[in-house]
Amino acid sequence: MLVSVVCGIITGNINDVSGALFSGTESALELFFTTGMMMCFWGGIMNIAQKSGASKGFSMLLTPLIKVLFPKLDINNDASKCIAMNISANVLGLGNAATPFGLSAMKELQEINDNKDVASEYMITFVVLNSVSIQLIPTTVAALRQKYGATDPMDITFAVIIVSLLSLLIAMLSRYILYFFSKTKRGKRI
Amino acid sequence: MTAYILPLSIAMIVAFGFVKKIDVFNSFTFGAKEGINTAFSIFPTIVGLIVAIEMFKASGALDIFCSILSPISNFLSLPKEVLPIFLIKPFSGSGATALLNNVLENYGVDSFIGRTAAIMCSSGETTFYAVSIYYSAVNIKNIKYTLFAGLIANFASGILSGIFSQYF
Repeated sequence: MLVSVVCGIITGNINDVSGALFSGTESALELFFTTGMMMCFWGGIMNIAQKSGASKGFSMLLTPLIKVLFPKLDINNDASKCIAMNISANVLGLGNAATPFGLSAMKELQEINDNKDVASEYMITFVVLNSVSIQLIPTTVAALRQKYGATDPMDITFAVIIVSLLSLLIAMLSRYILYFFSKTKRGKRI
Repeated sequence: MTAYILPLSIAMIVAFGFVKKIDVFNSFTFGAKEGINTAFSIFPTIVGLIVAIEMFKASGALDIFCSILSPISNFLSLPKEVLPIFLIKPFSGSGATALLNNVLENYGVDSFIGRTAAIMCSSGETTFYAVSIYYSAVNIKNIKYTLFAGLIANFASGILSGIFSQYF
């Protein structure tokens, strides 16, 4: 924000900057309403799924993947179920549905976290996973490309999947490299 | 196809609840209440982040950063027109989509620039947004190397989009 104000003064865009203050809060409120209501609704649906045992069966399907990404995490833990729901919503491209699942997953992971102020290794893996796109079909972008008359709006899909998978791999690799780095630096297990 | 996924999965979950004979509506309201509490807990984060991005864009700081980075993008054979998307994507998905809209309009949808921008836009994620809302929901203060790893992913997806849009 400091950078923005300084730049605004230098470039003479300071009027736009103060305008952005208002339009920014407005779009924040808009986002809050849509995602907030989504979270409210999905929180309800998720609770039904949890009570009826549907989410348990569902997370069984993703067990192999969760075992690889979150070693030693109990597969029957509520955290694994929420992580499974989050991953599948992301893969299907339902970002609005993925966030509430992800937030519940974080809460469950916090329950089993030893130090409540410091992110656990599971949390780091999970958040990094959510900062990489694992969407299978790029629907939003394909719709935009269609609008501008692309010969084949979906022909980027293959490249998108490869790029996404490679960046996921790179993110996870760097995440583990950093983990071993911090471990050796402190000379003890964290 | 995707239009069917959400309604069908909701219907299946509710139906399964009835089959298992649990109190479906009470379960719903209880979960919904927790959901809205979570939404309130991340609201301050959303406001701060979005206002900061809007100010950043309006001040012209984005353009300045892009011109600083353009030698690097030349080196990586990444068109400089996609740099704003590269910079905004980690912060805001809708912001990146708006920029993609501009790029497609000005440089053509099937051009190298247009394709690179489209691939970049769909293979990257909003790292800062994910990191801030997920950690603020559980009051974690020390996030260790999460942000760094996430940004490496963004960086990688940006560079790789340029490479792969040439071959596919």
